[in-house]
Amino acid sequence: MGSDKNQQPDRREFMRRLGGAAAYGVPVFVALGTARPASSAEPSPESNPERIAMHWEEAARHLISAERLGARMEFTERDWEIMAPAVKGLTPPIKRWPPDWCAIC
Amino acid sequence: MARTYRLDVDLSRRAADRLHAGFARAGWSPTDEDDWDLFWGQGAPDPEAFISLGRGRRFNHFPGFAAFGHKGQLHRNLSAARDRLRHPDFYRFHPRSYSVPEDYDRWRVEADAGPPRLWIVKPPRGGQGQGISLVADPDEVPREGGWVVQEYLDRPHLIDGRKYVLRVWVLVASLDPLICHLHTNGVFKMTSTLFTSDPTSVDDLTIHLTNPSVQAAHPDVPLGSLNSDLHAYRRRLTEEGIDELALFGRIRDVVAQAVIACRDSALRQSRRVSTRLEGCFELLGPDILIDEDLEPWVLELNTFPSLEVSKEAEAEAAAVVRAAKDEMVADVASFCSLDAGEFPPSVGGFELLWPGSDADRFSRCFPLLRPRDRALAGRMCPAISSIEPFLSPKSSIEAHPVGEGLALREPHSGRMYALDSIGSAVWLCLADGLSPAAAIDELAAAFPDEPIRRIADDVWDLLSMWMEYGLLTALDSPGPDQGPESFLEKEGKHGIGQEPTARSA
Repeated sequence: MGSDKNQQPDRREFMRRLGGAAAYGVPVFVALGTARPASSAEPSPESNPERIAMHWEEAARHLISAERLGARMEFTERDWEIMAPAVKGLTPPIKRWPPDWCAIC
Repeated sequence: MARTYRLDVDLSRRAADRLHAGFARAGWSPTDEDDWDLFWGQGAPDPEAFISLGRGRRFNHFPGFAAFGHKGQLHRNLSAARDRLRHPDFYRFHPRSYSVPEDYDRWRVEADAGPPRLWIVKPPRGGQGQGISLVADPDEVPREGGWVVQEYLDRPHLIDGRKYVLRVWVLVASLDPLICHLHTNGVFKMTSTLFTSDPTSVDDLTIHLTNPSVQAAHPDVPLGSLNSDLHAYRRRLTEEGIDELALFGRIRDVVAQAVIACRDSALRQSRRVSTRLEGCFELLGPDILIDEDLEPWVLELNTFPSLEVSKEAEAEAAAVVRAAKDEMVADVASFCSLDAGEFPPSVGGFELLWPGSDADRFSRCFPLLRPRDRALAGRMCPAISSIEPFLSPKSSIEAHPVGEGLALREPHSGRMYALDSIGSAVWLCLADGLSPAAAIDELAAAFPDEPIRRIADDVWDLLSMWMEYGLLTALDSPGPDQGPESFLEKEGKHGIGQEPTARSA
């Protein structure tokens, strides 16, 4: 994952770019859940930070886009069906959605 | 000129009768035209109905009413509040509940590990006992279909050896700020068959469910002997030497906690449909079970409380229940005659539940006391500080750039959260020590065409969620760059919005 709070964007620069780049929309906040292995066959994501970072980033992007499509904050199986159009656009490195080791998927 | 109301054509005739009677008592006139002042809807309303709700008009639902009425959502809201507070005096009044299929595995582990017990299986929506069953064998619980499995409370307080449930009425007059009233009357509903918790009794619902529609199936017991109003119930308790005043104080306490637990979810869901909620209100019908220790349990909140009076009821009992419902409907109509934003301490039998003079007790039930809540509660209860807390990201939270925004990670639990670019901007403001009001100002400067009130509401929704998820901490003193100006001061400065005003009864 590599990055940490020290790499947090500069607020003023972030706000300047934000105002110039995007139309205002309701802020989206999505709980991704807890990453943990679902079975012993899967490596713990904590032991593979690069992998969890990739999953995390993809999940963040796609859940937010799904939220914009009208899905709710708390996801049920039905929500995943609704989100399918966004999720199908997912590209490697995650080849299958959801990854086996993700507790929320 | 008399105000007019229009009833949804889907309402049953008996429910419509009670509404007509109640509204007539309050001086309202029915109409079938589109010039109504109040529309009383049945069933899930079309979102368009809220968007087109004109100024000065009333509608008997909020768009986010499911936060109260959907059994799974109620359970989630109450569980979240209990987990957040972790206080023995709060949120101990709801039976353990599980939404199937998502909670099935967790429930099954508990069901298999513990001693044999009864479970009550409910559909997520619906009323009058429809679709409800009791099961003793965990294998009989469906794995699919959105059912809610609830621990069966098998030690109820009994009257004449029978189980009973109290239906009370709550009027939610506003979601932001939250304003709600509890009616002094309600309906007492008893079963027809003597109570037993023997597992072999599960198929006889006349032992376990108090719904009149279920009890009507009993061949021998006249339904009228089973129902009454809360005044009669209180008299009966007094005759038995029970301190009914103390019991109803506890009922008031748990109902207030339950409504507050659902408020933020209802508000967020509502704002996704419409930002204009001034004309909306919600009549809730909480079902309260009293256990043998005389402690109240909130079973459901019910967003479509029955207004019907059973045709099978005996004349005398039916008259009592009918009068209670007519009185309550007339009180709702009287409330709707007030100007939007006006809230007296009582309207007929509806007495203020939140914010009352004891608002300091319940203020902790909110994930975050929003500015309008704080301003109103502070006027009703001097113990509520008018000073907004300073909100700061917890020091343990890691924030990582992801795409156009941030992702957050709480390292102790491993939980992760994603923020879009606007949410990230708010986070960065708080991380830099800005107050919520200053963060709203920064966003308003970035989006000058956007109404600041909308930005402010969105930011407070976000902050409330972050408090729910334990990502923020509230500080008594300002962070390095946080000034003393409150959100409402800022809102006043910008000349937008007025919070409701209190007036004498």
